[in-house]
Formats: sequence, structure tokens, C-alpha cells
Amino acid sequence: MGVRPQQNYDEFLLEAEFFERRLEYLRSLNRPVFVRVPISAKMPPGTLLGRFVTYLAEMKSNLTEFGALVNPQLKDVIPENDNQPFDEVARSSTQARVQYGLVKALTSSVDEKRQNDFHARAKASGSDNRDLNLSPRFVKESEYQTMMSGTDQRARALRAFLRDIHSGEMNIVKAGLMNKNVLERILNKNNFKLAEIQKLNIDSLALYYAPDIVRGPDGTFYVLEDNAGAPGGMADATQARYDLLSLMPEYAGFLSADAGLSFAAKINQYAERTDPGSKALLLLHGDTLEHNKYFSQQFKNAGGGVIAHNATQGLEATSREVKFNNQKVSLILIRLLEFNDFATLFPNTYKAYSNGQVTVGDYLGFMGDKELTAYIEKMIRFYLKEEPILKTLETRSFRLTGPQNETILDQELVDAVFANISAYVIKDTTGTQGFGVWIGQRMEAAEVTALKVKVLKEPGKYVAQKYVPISQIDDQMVDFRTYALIAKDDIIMGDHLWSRSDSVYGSGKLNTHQQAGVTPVFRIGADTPGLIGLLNFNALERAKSAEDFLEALQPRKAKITEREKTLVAWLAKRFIPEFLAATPNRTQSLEFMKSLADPDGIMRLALYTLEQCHQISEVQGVINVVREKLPKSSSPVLKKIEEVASQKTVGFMESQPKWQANWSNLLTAPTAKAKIALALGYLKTTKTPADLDMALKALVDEGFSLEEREDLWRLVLSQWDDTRAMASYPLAVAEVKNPAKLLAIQKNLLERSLSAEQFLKISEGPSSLPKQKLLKQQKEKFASLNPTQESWNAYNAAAGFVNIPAPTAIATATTTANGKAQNLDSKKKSGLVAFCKKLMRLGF
Amino acid sequence: MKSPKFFHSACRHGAVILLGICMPIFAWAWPPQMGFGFSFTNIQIIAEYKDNIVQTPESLVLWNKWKDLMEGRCASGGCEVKVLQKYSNGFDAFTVQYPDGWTYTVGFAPNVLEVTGTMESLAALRSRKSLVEQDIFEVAKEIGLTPAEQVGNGAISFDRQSTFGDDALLFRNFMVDQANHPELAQGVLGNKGTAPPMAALPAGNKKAFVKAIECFDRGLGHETFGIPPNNFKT
Repeated sequence: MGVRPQQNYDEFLLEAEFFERRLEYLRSLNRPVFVRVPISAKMPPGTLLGRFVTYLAEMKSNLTEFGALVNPQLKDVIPENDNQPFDEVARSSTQARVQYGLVKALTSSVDEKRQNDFHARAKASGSDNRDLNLSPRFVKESEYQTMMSGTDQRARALRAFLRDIHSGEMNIVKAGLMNKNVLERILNKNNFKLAEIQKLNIDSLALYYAPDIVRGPDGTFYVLEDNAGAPGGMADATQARYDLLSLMPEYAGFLSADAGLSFAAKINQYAERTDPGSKALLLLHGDTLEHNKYFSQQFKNAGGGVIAHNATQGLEATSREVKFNNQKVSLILIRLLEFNDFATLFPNTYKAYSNGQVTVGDYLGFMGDKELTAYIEKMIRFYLKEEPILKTLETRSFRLTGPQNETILDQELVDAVFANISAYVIKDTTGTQGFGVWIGQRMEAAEVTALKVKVLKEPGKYVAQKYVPISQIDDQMVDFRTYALIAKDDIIMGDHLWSRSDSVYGSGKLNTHQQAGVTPVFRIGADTPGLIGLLNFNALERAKSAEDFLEALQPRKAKITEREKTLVAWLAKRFIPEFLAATPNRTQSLEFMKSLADPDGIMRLALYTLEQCHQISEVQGVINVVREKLPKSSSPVLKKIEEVASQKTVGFMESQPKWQANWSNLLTAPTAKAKIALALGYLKTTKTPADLDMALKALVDEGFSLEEREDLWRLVLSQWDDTRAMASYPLAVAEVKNPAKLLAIQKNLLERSLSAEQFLKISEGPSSLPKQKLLKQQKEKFASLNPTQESWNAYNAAAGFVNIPAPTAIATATTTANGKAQNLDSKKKSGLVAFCKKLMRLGF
Repeated sequence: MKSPKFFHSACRHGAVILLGICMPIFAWAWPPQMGFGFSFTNIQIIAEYKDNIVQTPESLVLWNKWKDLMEGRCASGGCEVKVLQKYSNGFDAFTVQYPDGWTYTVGFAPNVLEVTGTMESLAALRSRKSLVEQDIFEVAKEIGLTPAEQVGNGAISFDRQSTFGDDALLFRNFMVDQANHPELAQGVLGNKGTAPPMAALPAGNKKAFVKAIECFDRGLGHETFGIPPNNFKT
């Protein structure tokens, strides 16, 4: 078993104890452990540590015992609480939470076979084998507008920048906002020359634009990258919505794939406006027609043309005009076809474009260079005289401009980044599709070293971005995507947001080429007509009790369809706890729990609420309500609630430095189990008998019940080392009155007794365990160690001595065992005899 | 006649390996006996190490220093130093043996001097604390060696017989448990460079592991457990 090089022997001993304890736990299972190998081993530090805590809890342990094993470097990078990823569900609006709750409830009934089928069909339908998430996302109208208007603003700034350098004015350089060296570097990296750009017919040029937007811990939207040129997923944004609704028809009741004017229709309208009587043409690579079928259909519906490069029937082009099916074309969108191929495959059309007769969605690679992202906010202020709507995530190049206008290495940045790589993401500025992106938190030491060499060799090729924990839905990291077409005098905005997501255990890169899935994003209101108008969301938000809530769930419409009626009834029954658990208002949840009558609902709500508690007092509140409402329930769910509450409490307590110093903290623990677990942690820190006496006295003084103290003794003695446990046995005997608990203590110590004297001392304790019981216990132990049927039969024959005086018993046992063991091999026989001899040594 | 399903070729490889390790043994299989593998190094050794030649001029000098120092300590009785020819990676190693038979060995490994000890129960290992600290960690420090985070590899060895005995299920579960929990290797306990967890291996390796466990389970008479191999993304 490979581990870190041990820094001292104590570290090794702790590791050895850790593995022995884990093996003991595995021995106790007596069933196969499921294979659940995560898809990736790269996880954020907080996740790694969280998994470790769960791992320890399984073996009835915690960080107090084995926290010293955790790599100190890992402890250093654990995110602070205020840097936790934004929870897209819990912090969304009431309307969104209703939709999320509905989706969660609907997807919970989708079995594995259907899920597999869903993903297989989704992959076949989309481009690049992209997967589709079973659950959609929701955003508020205001959030939607922020992202759309922010995208529009950035697109306008980029257009102004392109025109500025195309004209040769270079006002941004003259204003000192961008060094000319930087501009030339960006062009060179992407194999462009300023002179070539200036030769382009700027009025015939349209540019795709699709920024990557993420939400930071405080809810702020940040642009990670400004992808201009050939961003992926634009057609897929529409396709994915149709795929989702056709593969999960349950959603059709409350979601809509279409809202407002489609992107395709807007493009055709633009074409007609700029050149009356003309339309747009979508020109695709032949193999991709199937994957763009909805987008293509929308294009046709809007009067535009669609052709694949290998089926050009209807296209007539000269150097002065392009026609499709006898209709003039003024705008051509090239999708998934290299620009060079366009020039080769469609020479006449290309000539018409060169002559300024038609506008073409072009690929200008340098406009998508990641180094430009750092300048977009400056461009917005400079060209548009506006304040940026969307913030850019802090992005810095490793290349600086020196006093003589020369480019030099930004050594300060190199030092800062590589001294604390976990706080940064490094990007190759020309990389696409998630390639050339290194997330510091997920890098191995060797990778960091190799990357540093690359950066030092070509600093101008790389940028560093501050790492921001990306928002999450359940265990999925998610981003937002918008898209637009930058045209001569307009920005044509896409009609849908979409999102990419990946497991928090995945690569951390939200690109389909990095296994990320596509998630359609629905706007609350416009895209979710099913519930809007039907339910009173304001009343839902204000509901303080079950009665209020049920009342708010009554349809607002006078006439409702049967389907809506079923939906509302279903919501009322199934959905209440899910909805409330997602609310950050804990008081409301508690009040609501109090007013619920359904025990199942109370317990489900309690479990959901507990998972989101952030303080012991909140846990206490939940437990109080549960005890008040369900005083006599013996449901397994109730046990689970107690278990979760205990784990949460111990976790909160242990996360405080030197928590053992404050003994009174224990009293705030809401469950006996948590109280005992914490007391146990405290007692473990006692070093001397005097400390122990004081701690035990404190247990009484602080109000631990007799029952709690008895449980504590059982735990303490089972976890302390043999010597300490044996020495404390008389103290335990003085306190533990419950015969069953005393028996458990004695059983444990008997197994660990180091001498016959100790064995007898314990077996003759106040519970006066009968000898038969002790022998039975030894018999069980024997059985567990020698599970073969032969040896077991032999022992049973020998074990008739229980009522016979000790020396005779041993003699009989030995003789019988020898006799019965005649047919056993020598190893088994000697084992049996050794067992009998052990009994003798122990004083029987 | 067809051979039993369990021995079909698809299963044979992984399952036979696992079963081979766990062949029935009659033993008092607890507590487990464990041993350590410490590694010590310095900047010079790391700088000199190349081309998989594990003995560098500096490591040889320090190995001799360590041996001389222990020979001096053992001269007054209490231990004995012996050189083992071509023992570790083709190079000499030396052992230090104590009166109760317990021994530790110092040999060469990439970037480090590697120290291993006789396997014992946890209680026995604990009782040896002062000796290990004085005769290993302090000696290493005295000659200028330290445990290094980025190179070498600490190790814990488990004695098969006392740890698993004839409990094939325990062995199987231990393997699966380690594979299921990459957090142990990825920073909590592990040396990230030299002990990659199963989760960090290519999809093919994961599939092979799941296949082996499935076959093993069938051999034990269990239903197939675990997620289907085709759930791994490739």
C-alpha cells in the first residue's frame, strides 16, 4: 500500500492503526462491497476531504482520530465557507425551485434502462456525440436579461474593436489601452497579419460570438472566455431543447421548446432588411445535416435556404450574385465547414463574398484568442462609453511590456501563480474545446512543473485566471452559454441560453470534448408556461404553514384542464418537502414542519432540511420539531434523521479549532449520539488519571444522563488502548448499571484481556456473568476463527464440559478434541488443541 | 463437456489472480501483521538520480555512513549489522538485527534510500517506537537525510496470512474499498506521484478491474456486484 513518505514513526503508527481499523470494519460487513470507482480521481480539495470524513464515519471514526493523516497541503487549500460554489437550486427564485422540485420528482421515477436509452438517443441526435442531461436548468427573467444584454454589449465592443484595427486607426492602441506588441502577438499566434485583415471587406463580414459565463460563489456572473469565430453548440442549443422534450415528454406539460422569435428567423429578417427581397442561406458540412435538423428546419420555416456542401442543388452563384432556389441570398452562415473549404468548394460564392455582394459568417481566429478576454471591459468603456454588464474573470498574460516597449516575462505573476497553483487556472490562449486548459486544483506536481517550463518558454502564449468555484446543481458543475452573430450594423442574439455541465468529480472542464453534457436552460415565465399562471408563486413564497402552502397551490385559473388538476394534486402530495427544503429560510421550513400532519412528509422535510443546516442550532431546531411531532415513531427514517443530525453536529463541532477546550459545547449537541461522540473526543484528549476523573465528574455535573454515561463508557473502553481500558474498568463498573451495557463492556474487555488474572477479574465483575455465557462467548470466538465444519463439530463434541469443574473440563475438552480431531490435518488439530490450552491458561 | 462458466477465459485472468492470493489457509488470521517502508533522501541524491540507476554516488556515501554509524552503535551489543549482496534493485543492502530477531533493512531505490522492517502486529510496532525513532529516523537525520514529499514513496505492507487468512471476501473487499476511494491516494494519505488510485487509471483498466471482481464474486457464489464496466466513459 503506497502512502506519502512518513515524516516520523508516529505517522506510520497512525497509518497502521487506520488500516487495521478499516480492515476491522470490512471484516464486520460480511458482504461484498459494491464497486463504485469514480470516473476521475481529480476532485476539489473540499470534496476529497468530505469523502474522507464519510469514509471515517463508516468505520465509526472521525477527523479527531485520523485528521493528522490528511496531507497538510490539502488542508491549506480547503475553500473557506464564503468561497463555496453557488447552489443554483437553493438560491434560485420560488418559481425556479418549484420547477426544480417538479423535475426532481419526475426524474426520480426514470429507471436505469430508460436513462440509458435517453442518453443513447441524445448522443445520436447531437453533434460530437454530446450527451444531454436528464434535468433542465432554470433562470429568472432578470438573470436571462443580464446575460443576454451583457453578451450583446461585449459583441458590440468586439465589433468596434475589429473595425478599429481594420481601419488602421488603432485608436485603442493610441489611447494606451492595448500595447501594439500585444495586438501583433495576438494576430501572430493565430497566423493573421494586420495588412491581411485590413484588406478584408469589413461590411461583408459577420462573426459568431458565444461567451462562456459562470456564476461565482456570491452569485455574480463572470465571463471566462469570449469565444468569437467558431464557437460550438449554437445549433445544438435548439436541438438539445427539442431532444429533451421529445425524450422526456413528461416535461412537455410545463416547459416549452420555443419562445419568441428564433435565431434563424432573426437572421433571415436581418438579411431581408439589409437587402430587401433577399434571404439567408445556411451552408453545412454534409455529415452534419442530421445534427442540425431543428436549426435547419427553423431556417427553412423562416424562408431561408439550407444546403449541404455535397448536395448543392438550387444554388446558383456568380461573382456578382448568389441565388438559392431563385431567391437572392445576402447572408450566408457557414457551420461546421472550414472557411478554406468554403473557398474551394464554392468558388463563385466566395468571389461574390470577396466582391462585397454577400455577407458571410467568417472565422477570424484571433478574435477568439483568450488573451483578448482581458481587454473586453476596456473596449466596452472605450468604444461604447458604457459600464460592462458582465464582469470578466481576472485574466493576466505572463507577458509584460517593458519600458522600451519590449516584451518581458511577468516574473511576479509566474512566482505568484506557481507558488499557489490551486488558486489559478492556466490557459493556452489559442486552445479550443477545453484543450490547453489546466486547473491548478486538479494538477499533479509533475504536471505543474511541466506547465511552468512551457510558460517560461512561451509566456505570451499563456494566461492565468483566478480560480473561481463554479456554481453547482447537486453534484454537477454548470456554466451558461449565450450566442450571437455579430453583423455589420446589428448584433443578432440567440434565442436560448444553454449550459454545459460535468460531475464535480469530472475533468472540471465544461466542454463536450471533455465529456461535459449539454443542459438546456429555460427562462422562468417565457419558457415555462405550464405553471406560470396556474400557481400563485407569491403565495407559495409567503406560506408559513402547510395550510398556507396547500392554499397557495390551488390553481389561480377558474377553469383548469384535467392534466393541470392532476399536476396540482400531485404537487401538493409529493412536492412540499422538496420545495421547502430548497429554501434558504430555515425558520419557514421549521414552521412548516410543525404544521404538517403527514409523518412521512415531516421526516422527508427533516432530512432535506438537515442536509442544508449550517449551524448546530439549526440542527437542534429540526430535531426538536421531529421529537415534538413524532414522539413515538420507530421508523427507520427517524433513525436516519438522528444519524444525520449527529454527524452534522460532530462535523460542525470538530471544524472549530480546539473545540475540546470548550466542554460546555457538548451540551448544545442535539442528539445523545452526537453528545456522546463529542464527549468521546474530549475524553480521548485526557492524558492522566486526574484528567479522566475530572472529565468524568464533568459528565455528571454537565447533566449527562445515566444512560448517556453508560453509552459513553461502552464507547470509551472499546476505543481506548488495552492498557488504559483495563485500568479504567473499575470506574466503569461503578457507574454502569444497565446489565446489557455492562455485559457489552465485559465482552469487549474479555476479548482483549491480556492475562488470566484480567480475564477472571472482568468475568467476575458485578454483573456476575455466568461461566456458561463466557464459554459460549469463547465458543463464538472460536467459531469465527475456525469456520470449517469439521473443526466446529469437533469443538461441539468437546464443549460438553461447561458444567464440569475447570481442570476436568480442560482435560475432557482436550481429550475429546484430540479424539474428534483425529481426522483433521495437523494444522487444524493443533489449532483446536491450542484453543483448549488457551482456556486453561485463562484459568478454566 | 463445457468447462464451468467461472473458468471461461474472460474471467480466468483476474479471478485466478485474486483467488491465488487468497487460497485457503488455516490460520488465526488476526490481528494483521504490518511492516513499514520508509524513504529518505536529500537534494544531492535527487539531482544525481537519472536513467533508472537507483544507486547514485551520494546515496552510496550515505548508505555507507548509515551502516558505519549502526556498526558503531551495535559494537557495544544489542544489535548486529550484516551486508546482503545484490539485495535491493541489484545493489547491496544492509540489515540491522536486534536480539529478539526484529530486523530492519536499508537499500537503494529511485531517488531515495529505502528502509523496511520485519512485519509485526500493531501492538508490537508500537512497543518498538523508541528504537525505530533512535535507530532509523535519528540516524537518517544525523547523516543529512529526510523524508521527502515529492519523491520516493512511503509504504505499509500487510502480511497476507495474518491479515486475510482464508477470508477471500475480506481480501476482495479491501481491494474494492481502495479502488472506490481515490481520496486516500489523492492527497489524504497517498503519495500522489507514485501511487495512483484506480480512478486515475484509463477506462480500460477500470473495466478490467470490475470484470475481475465480477468473476471473483461468481466464484464465491455471490451475485454480480458493481456497476457495469460500460458505465465508464472512454
